[in-house]
Amino acid sequence: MENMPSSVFSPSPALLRARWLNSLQIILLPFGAVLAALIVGAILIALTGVNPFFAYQKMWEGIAKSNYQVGLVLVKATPLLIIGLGLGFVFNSGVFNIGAEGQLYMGALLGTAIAIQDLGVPAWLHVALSLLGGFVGGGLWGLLPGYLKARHNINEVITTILLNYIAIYIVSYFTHGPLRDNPLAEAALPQTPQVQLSSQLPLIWPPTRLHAGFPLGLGLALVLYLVTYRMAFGYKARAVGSSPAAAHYAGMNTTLIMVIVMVVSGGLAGVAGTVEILGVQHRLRDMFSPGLGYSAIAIALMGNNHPFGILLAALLFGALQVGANNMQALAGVPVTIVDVIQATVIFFVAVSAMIRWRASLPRLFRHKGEANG
Amino acid sequence: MMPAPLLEMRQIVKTFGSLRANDRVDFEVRSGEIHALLGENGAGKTTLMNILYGLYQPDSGEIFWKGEKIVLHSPRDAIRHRIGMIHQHLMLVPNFTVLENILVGLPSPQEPLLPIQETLARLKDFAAQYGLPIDPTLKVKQLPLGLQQRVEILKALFRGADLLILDEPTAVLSPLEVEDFFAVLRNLVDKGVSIIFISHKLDEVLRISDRITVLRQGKRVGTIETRQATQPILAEMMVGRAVALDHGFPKGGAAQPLLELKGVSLIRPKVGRVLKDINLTLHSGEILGIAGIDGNGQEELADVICGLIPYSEGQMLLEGRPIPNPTPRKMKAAGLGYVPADRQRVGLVKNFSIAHNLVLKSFDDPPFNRHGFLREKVVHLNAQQVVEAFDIRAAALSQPVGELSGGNQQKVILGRELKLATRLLVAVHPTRGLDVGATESVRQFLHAQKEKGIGILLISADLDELLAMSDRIAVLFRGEILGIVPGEAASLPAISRMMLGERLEAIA
Repeated sequence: MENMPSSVFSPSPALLRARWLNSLQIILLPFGAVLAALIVGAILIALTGVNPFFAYQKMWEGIAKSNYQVGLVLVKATPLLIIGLGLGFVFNSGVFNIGAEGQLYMGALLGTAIAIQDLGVPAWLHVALSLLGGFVGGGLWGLLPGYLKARHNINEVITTILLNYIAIYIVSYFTHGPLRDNPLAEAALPQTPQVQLSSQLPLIWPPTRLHAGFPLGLGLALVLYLVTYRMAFGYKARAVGSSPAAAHYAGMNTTLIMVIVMVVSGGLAGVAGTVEILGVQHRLRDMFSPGLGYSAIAIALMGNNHPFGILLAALLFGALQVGANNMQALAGVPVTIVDVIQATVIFFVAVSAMIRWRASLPRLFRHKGEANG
Repeated sequence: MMPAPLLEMRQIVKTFGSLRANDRVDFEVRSGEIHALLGENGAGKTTLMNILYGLYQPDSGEIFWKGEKIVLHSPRDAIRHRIGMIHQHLMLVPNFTVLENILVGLPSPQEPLLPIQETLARLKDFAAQYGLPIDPTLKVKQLPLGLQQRVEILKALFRGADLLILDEPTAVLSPLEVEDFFAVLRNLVDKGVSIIFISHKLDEVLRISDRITVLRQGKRVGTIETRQATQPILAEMMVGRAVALDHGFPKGGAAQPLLELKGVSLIRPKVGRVLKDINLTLHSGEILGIAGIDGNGQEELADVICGLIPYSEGQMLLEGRPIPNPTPRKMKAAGLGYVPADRQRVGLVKNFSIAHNLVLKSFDDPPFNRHGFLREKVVHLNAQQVVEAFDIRAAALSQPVGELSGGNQQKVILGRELKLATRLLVAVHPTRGLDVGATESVRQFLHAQKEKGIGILLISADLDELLAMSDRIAVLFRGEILGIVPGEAASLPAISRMMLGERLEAIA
């Protein structure tokens, strides 16, 4: 806007620099978090008597040594990406859904229940129906806390955490009981039968393990980007998240929007759970998720709730996981240390998100000074 | 021979990022004077005083207090030097009694016990000595704002104050309370306390102060003796050019009933009746002013009319047709624009761009929306037009509104709402916190709407504004309308008394 009137409020070089630094921060802080976690990890590895450089070399080889390893990274990133997309969407609307883990379980339960049936339909339809089941299962598990928050103003953080436990135990019940594979065998594991061949996600990059769930995640990232930043609904959802009072004043149905974003985010977690079953595990096991729904919270934060940022963060987490497994196998780093490193990454990501938040404070502060002069 | 000044601030510089809030400011206070610090919003008054109170550290410059150079690292240092400050937003604990509020932070001779008896006795002395009577056992939240301010002053005096800094102290007071307050200030000066009085209200400054220092854009414009000052001189010093002051707007106009409220009440759970049996008629081409001390139901009245809060009883009619359950959307469709009291939290989404804020209520309608997608180009064009028409000063249309000054934020809201206000407009405190220039242009915009035949409900705490703009003025007290008077200066005494709870019939 060159032709706009200049004034004391036009951006000085200092303000422009501050903005540029802010964008730089959004990119650099997550990398700083990972770097910090790797340094802490190196200290811990050294304490176990392994040369950290050797260990990290094995880690890097685990990520990029072969196509097979790259495929594994993408496979690991897939559920994190899909859950993270839903969480970024819901966080943008100011609703803090901590219940992705439970939604993932409920989605996987309903999706698997459909996938193990012999429906006699074409494969694409069987897959689609199973994924739809996953969306419905997770979506319903998101609808409940969404409704409670919108209608009765009950804190969604508490309800979603509690619902996680309920969901995990419901799945436990089904894998031990009604859906148990071969229930008469003495030593039968608590798991469902294998899903039908017609419902398995096809491998798309043989001989790697990469399945069709990953391109599905990429497509979802694009869709969510369009919805959030190009469509009127995303505009509304972000307005509700940034300023509920302003959204209400503008005539937006804030409660309905909160419920919708909760259903979408729960539904995506459910889809992620189903994708994990249809593409990787092929049967639903008791306690099958290693906390994917929680890791995805860190991924959404790290990606600044932006679909493309979330994609990068999910790839990074997938890589760390695969690399860490390799490090464990080939460098002899104990598995618990690997867990600690992953937890440390999440910790530093959370801290970096806080730093970013705090970094925006001086600007607010300056405005206060201006306003009261 | 001039006596040595009590306080001298020399060449004070303070920057926030790229903003020079204070630019080599000199400022002095003589013993026993009321020194007014005058300037528009953003001129640097509060910054300078926060430096004096130890809240900010200056980038450079020196402070001399009673002839000695001092450095203030925190308010604790300022209090130790017997400098007290009363902030614009009172800093009291509402759930504590007056006594407890005064005790907060006071050292006790009998730690860990509180010196309750001594303090009570001393408080009695103080109240008598300075003419500030108050019941120390009342909870602060039960007191009207005028008395709460008295508690703040007592608190400062208790800590020992030779100099009191008062930041916009009259902003929260009714006209009658202002009279009392000025009497208190004169009494304090008689007892040897010097006072810095921060304000942007010219008439008050002229009435109460001995000398006036004017700041503009962080720089000191000058200091003059109050008896040599006039409103035009001060206004020119503040703005940097001659300003037309407080000219009234032409009154009267078309008179079709537009909006009618019949027996409207609002009952809030646990709070009770916030609005009681409101009967009002707003005509087309009329500005109906609503006066009252803040918190007497003004904002609720606006929210009810605009459909944000459903009313509990009564009836609302638009051009004779009842509107049973008004919602923001329905009212927008009926041609209502609403400038809300809280522009930062309610009127705008602060981290959205100017362009996006300008379509906050119409993003769902053509031409801004096609098949669910926002048409950024159209949104941008719309913003370009509004920014030009309303002279909004911004770096870019994509700039977040949170970064704009208060005046420009208000213009963004006006730019959006005046377009929607094809029949009526509700404006709450539309010029609050704006500088002289921005205030003038906001009033011009409102007046132009009236000329077009739009009915305007103007809710304001600024009586001068109401008198200058309104055709009629209704006074709201504890949710009730106590009377409606013509919008002319002669109504002022009646309005003042109604603001404190007297009915119009009782006054007449």
